[in-house]
Amino acid sequence: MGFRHSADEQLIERARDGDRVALQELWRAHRRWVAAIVLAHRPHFVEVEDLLQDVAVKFIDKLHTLRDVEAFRPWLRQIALNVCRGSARSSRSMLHLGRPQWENADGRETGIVSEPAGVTGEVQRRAEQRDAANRIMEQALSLPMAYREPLLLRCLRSLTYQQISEVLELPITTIETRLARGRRMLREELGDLDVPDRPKPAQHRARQH
Amino acid sequence: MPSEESETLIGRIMDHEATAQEFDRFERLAGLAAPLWRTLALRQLDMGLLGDRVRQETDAAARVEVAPVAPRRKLAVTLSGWAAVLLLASWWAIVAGTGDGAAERRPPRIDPVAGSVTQQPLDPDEHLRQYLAADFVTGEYDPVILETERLENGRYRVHFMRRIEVYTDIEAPPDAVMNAPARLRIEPSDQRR
Repeated sequence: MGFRHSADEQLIERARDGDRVALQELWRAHRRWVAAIVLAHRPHFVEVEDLLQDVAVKFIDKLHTLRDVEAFRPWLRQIALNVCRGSARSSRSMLHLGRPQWENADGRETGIVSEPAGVTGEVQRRAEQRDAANRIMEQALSLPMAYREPLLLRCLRSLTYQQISEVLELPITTIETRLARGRRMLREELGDLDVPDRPKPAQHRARQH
Repeated sequence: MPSEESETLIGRIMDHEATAQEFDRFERLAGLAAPLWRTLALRQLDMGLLGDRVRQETDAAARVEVAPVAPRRKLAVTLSGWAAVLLLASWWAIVAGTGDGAAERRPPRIDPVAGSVTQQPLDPDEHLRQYLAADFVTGEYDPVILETERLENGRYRVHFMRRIEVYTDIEAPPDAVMNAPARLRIEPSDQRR
């Protein structure tokens, strides 16, 4: 992911001059962290991808209004915030974009050959890991925004403290403090949640056709 | 409860921002308060799980591209996704023969054998291709999946929404023909006549 100041500035200038390749490259360099901002601010009933589509449209439409290229990241963040707020205020009926339900009644994923009886412990462990991850995510999204945003941005490993401070327009020391407090608050909310071991990638076998 | 300094050091260690001196400082503090090691371990576990979920949620970013656009248009109005779908459905209904003058709107087809023009209805996909080739169509975004369902024959039905960007030039300022939240109050095709 690119926080390459001089490279970004060149891309911005080229994009504003109508260079479509530069426009696409600029968007691709920043869309992941913009998605994290959207994730932090979106209404629950709206998918990240939908809002990100709207951000992409406004990004194209308003790039010519960017006065200071060094303020590109906070400018782009503000677009994301405005899209999220507009979505929350919107009076039109929101379509809930569900994901395909691939799970059977017992929670197992379809498309996977049934596990032999002897490894049901592994299946249960993965289910517990999934539940723990979902609960942590839920708690993170309920943190105050001052802590939620830097926490989600930091989850994108490619973002340094310096880069997060540029996006949020806050001093690095403030970022450090908010990360530390956010993580502590998260653990306090989780309480005695028994966090299972770090999950390992699942080994799926294709259904036999 | 760990001190503010300890929490900050733990964060910097987890985030690979800590200097050698900060590592040493943390080790000294943990030597005085052994639970700090457990705190570090718990923070790493929490962030490991949260990080996986956040990256999973933001994987959607890889599917969102910026649509190629022409240079900035003046007095152009961009339709919302729903309005574009309704417009396409209305146009299809008209061209399919449900409105007056529909026959005249059907593109003629040349019969290479008979050497005459025949009026044959186009299938919906052909209509869409012709619509997308129109001057007022900027482009189409990636379709958005709405839902999926499993069919009795073992296949899957995918419901998805097309999002087509079009533009129209209007006389009045955009505010006069839009209402909140950014819905058009005019029929764009009327403006093109």
